[in-house]
Amino acid sequence: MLGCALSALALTWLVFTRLTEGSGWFGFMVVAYFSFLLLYGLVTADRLGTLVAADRVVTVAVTTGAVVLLTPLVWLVGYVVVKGVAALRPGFFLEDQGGVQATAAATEGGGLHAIVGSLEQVALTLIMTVPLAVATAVFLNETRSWFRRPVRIFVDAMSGLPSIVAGLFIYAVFILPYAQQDIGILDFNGFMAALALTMIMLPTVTRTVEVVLRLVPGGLREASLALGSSRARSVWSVVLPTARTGVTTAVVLGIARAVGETAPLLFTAFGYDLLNTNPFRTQQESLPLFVYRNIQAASEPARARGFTGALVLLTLVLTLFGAARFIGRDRTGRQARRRRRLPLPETGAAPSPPSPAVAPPPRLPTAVAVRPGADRSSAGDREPPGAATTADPTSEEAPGP
Amino acid sequence: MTDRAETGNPTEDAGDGVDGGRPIALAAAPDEDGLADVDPVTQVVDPTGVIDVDELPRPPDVRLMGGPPPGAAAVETQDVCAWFGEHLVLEGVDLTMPAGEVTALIGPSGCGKSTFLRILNRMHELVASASLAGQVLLDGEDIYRPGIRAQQVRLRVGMVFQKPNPFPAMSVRDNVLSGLKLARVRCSNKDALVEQSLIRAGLWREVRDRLGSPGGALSGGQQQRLCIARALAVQPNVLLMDEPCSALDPTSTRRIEDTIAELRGQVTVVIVTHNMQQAYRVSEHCAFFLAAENEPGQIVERGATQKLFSEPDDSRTLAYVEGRFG
Repeated sequence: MLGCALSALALTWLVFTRLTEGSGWFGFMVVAYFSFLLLYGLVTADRLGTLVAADRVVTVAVTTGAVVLLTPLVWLVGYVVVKGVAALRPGFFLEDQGGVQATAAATEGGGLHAIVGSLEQVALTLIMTVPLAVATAVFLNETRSWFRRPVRIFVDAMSGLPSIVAGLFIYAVFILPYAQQDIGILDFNGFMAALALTMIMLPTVTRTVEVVLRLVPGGLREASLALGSSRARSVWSVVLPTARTGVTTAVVLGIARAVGETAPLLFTAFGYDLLNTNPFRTQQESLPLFVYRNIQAASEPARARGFTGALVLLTLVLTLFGAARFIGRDRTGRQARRRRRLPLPETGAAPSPPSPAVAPPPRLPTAVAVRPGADRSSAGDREPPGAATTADPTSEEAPGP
Repeated sequence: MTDRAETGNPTEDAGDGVDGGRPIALAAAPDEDGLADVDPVTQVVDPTGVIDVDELPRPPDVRLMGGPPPGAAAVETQDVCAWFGEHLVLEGVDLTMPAGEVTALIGPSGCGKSTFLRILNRMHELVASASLAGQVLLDGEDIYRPGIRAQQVRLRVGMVFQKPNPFPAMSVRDNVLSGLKLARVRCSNKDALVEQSLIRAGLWREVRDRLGSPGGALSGGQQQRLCIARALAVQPNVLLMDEPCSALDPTSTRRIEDTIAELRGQVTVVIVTHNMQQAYRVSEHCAFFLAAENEPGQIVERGATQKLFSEPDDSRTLAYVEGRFG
């Protein structure tokens, strides 16, 4: 393989520099790659047959595709980390931008106001979105109303709404008409931002929850109804708990969408350099706005600060994601743990009869002989595998009568 | 005739051959009449059931508040017809299912047995476009009468489905108690009810140490028995079973048949089955459904199981129970 790669490089180099007036590293790479594929295929076909060759060439092509797709992602994250980590220090989480001069070093001040603003706005958005989205999804999936079709169309249309339009809408309806009247809540503030974010998040979460609810087997609904439950009760007690993991995932996707939005915040939260913990009064900063405003700034330190903000934003999203996955995984996690615990008595019992001194030779017979017994004895007091229990009572009872 | 009935179901025989006593019974079967050749089977089956119950002290009686009235209830249908959209699937079904006894509904696929079963606890109306004519009397009371809510009916008439469907988000214990929670029935002693229901479903010994583990973690047969326990926990008057063993192995099937035998006298059981031997083993009464091509399903013959299997009046019944078609 290495030989093929080297010969391909050499061949391409030959073609590019000696035979033709080749130009540009990109063309060089492409030609080198394809000549490598060709050579690799030919060599393998010659030595191991065409079937193996085809298999290997396709494997290489698919792997290349994956690497090519991954590169921008790693690059992007790496770039943000490298640029942002320089100005990252504990102070960033403890201070705002109060009294920081434009020319001050990037380590002056911090992004506390942005972090607090982001968390508050997303929390408000969640409080408004989750009940609405779950209710809508239940309506779309669990009822037979004729009104479902229009609602579904609306939700679809909303999900295509450009985010800046959501911000503009809130600005035009709730902020602009009351601009001079000094009504706290109808001015630039975090709550307005949350309203705009709700418009972005609602359709995403609704559609995802709907899909998740559709995945709940109809048999469970029937079983619930057959027990004398009302429809509403079976949705609340059976369908939603069953879909809990999926609903959590849907909410996480919504958060991921909402927390990174900048455009809806431009006309609503507006941005602010000082810490404002009250989301219902006066303008507020948030992480995307912080990044946006700082990257645009003329001074080099401000730009560095912007990258730090971006890094914190990335970390925040990742943390939220992890936390939500953890909460959603709770039950299935417990199952997985039990399954993992099951082989333990086996492996714990197997080494004990053959002492460490006589390890290799008796292993095969004893291990095989011991295993079912160890399994069986543990079945009584521990949580046994389902198969063992069904087999157990019958095998015990059969000799009885 | 009976020889053929016996040998006409190779899959059933092969399946039951798992337990030691069965092949001997089979070998003896051709010499004996229809009645006797099934007896050995029940004898082999019975001990497990008996031991299961005798070993365990019965828990104290549990009282439910807001649940169904006590005891089994008779179900009677009068001229029941059912449609899906414009399509008539069931026509003129008259059937009496006596209280506390087991009635089996047999017949080939697509002849309306399951539809009929779902009519008995008003699950039929859950299908959009489904409609119905005729009367279904539960202890003499029409369950489709205006003013009677489907939930009340379903509380009195429990159901076990073809595929085991315990609630995956609930523990074994919560699964058993889910009926109480869902139908807002209150109970004087929940632990005793859980124990009682699981004993009646023949599952107590296997799960008593892990009532807190999720219902989905059990094996298929255990899940189905959990579903039976769940249906029994609200103490229904009638229990409908829609091919409860079709997804199960022979051992689990036998345990469920034992459970059905246990329930005799306490609950009216109506069971749909494609397994002729099973219908013969578990039921006192039997109804044979049949649908000609593009025609609605009808009852061809009904009556005591013994008679239906040994000397049916209708030639089509004879052909079906012998396994010549279906």
